[in-house]
Amino acid sequence: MKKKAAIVTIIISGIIIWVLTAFAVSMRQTQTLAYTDIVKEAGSNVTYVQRSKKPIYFLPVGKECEFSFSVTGPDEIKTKISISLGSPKAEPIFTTTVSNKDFSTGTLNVDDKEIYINCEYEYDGELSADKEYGVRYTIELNSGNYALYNGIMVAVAALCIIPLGISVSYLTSLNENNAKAYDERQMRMRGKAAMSTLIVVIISAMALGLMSMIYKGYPLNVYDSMMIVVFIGIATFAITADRYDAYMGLSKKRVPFAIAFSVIGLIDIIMFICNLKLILMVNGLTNIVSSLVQGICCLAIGIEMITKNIKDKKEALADEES
Amino acid sequence: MKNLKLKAARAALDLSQQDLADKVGVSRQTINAIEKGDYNPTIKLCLAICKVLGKTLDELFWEEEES
Repeated sequence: MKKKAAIVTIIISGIIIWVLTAFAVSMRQTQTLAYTDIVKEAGSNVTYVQRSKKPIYFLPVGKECEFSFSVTGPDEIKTKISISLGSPKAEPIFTTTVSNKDFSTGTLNVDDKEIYINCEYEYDGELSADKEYGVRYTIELNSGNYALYNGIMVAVAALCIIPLGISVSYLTSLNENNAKAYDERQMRMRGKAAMSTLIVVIISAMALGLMSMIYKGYPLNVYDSMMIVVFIGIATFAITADRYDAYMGLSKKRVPFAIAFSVIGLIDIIMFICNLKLILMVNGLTNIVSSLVQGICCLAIGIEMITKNIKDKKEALADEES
Repeated sequence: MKNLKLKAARAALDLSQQDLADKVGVSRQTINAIEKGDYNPTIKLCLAICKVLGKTLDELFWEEEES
């Protein structure tokens, strides 16, 4: 009865969280990116010091959208902004040259294609040689599709929270005196796996933080960096728990899970290889790097499950024969 | 240290590790780990195993001192 009440409470709480969060974010229709370029005069050109000259990439957002730009920097530096669809080298649908200005593109017909924004610098006037200038620009993309996207993401997140809540409630309610499936060794090993995962997660997060501090061209944003840490944590826990034979009731269903993980991993890795050229060419594709880490982690889990399954079967067979 | 007494008692009843694990309510790997000496079970699990195999705690889990 207690368990039933806990499950009902979790489901109702999950639905309430889902509805409230969906409502809270449903109005959000924008995506904002901010960049700072360090530029310096070199003869008759302006060269980039900190960032390689790459277009900024946006996923398709529907038929129409609007960009708002805010460019701040020295008056002498002119920023030429052009927006292309489908390919960074395609004929621009919008071009302007500004300095120190906020402006909007108005409604653009983007025809459900990928959007590329090129920012090039020109100088007008006298600049001091060897002096570096910072140009900061903020781009806000406004599209109705983002509301739908946010709503779907909230739904997915909420749907993940509900089974997670039920699992946690079930695991914490397991009592060695009344639970039939209470395996004390597995419980202990899961604790050991969780401790290993915690250490790996801390080390990964600190390593990525350190890299972002010492490497100027660190390409990942906070979200992608955290997703990498999460994937590494999931893979560490899954592999360690399985190696200790402390899986969560997966002993008889290992093969389908192993195949699913391996396939997802391979798809992610193949997608990364296919997009490798694009990654080198444009900014804004850092999510593919976290997908690669996700692919490697899924493949590692899949391979571990397959090898463990083979070992497990051999062990059981040897016991039957003896 | 391997628990050969447990393995022998199980074999005497013609039970596989899986059969014993099912009767005790743990995984086969837990029984395997106890027999191999990789895991030190709690008194509760020891008692459950003893009941299934019809042995006493001493008979299955008492370690003889090596002289």
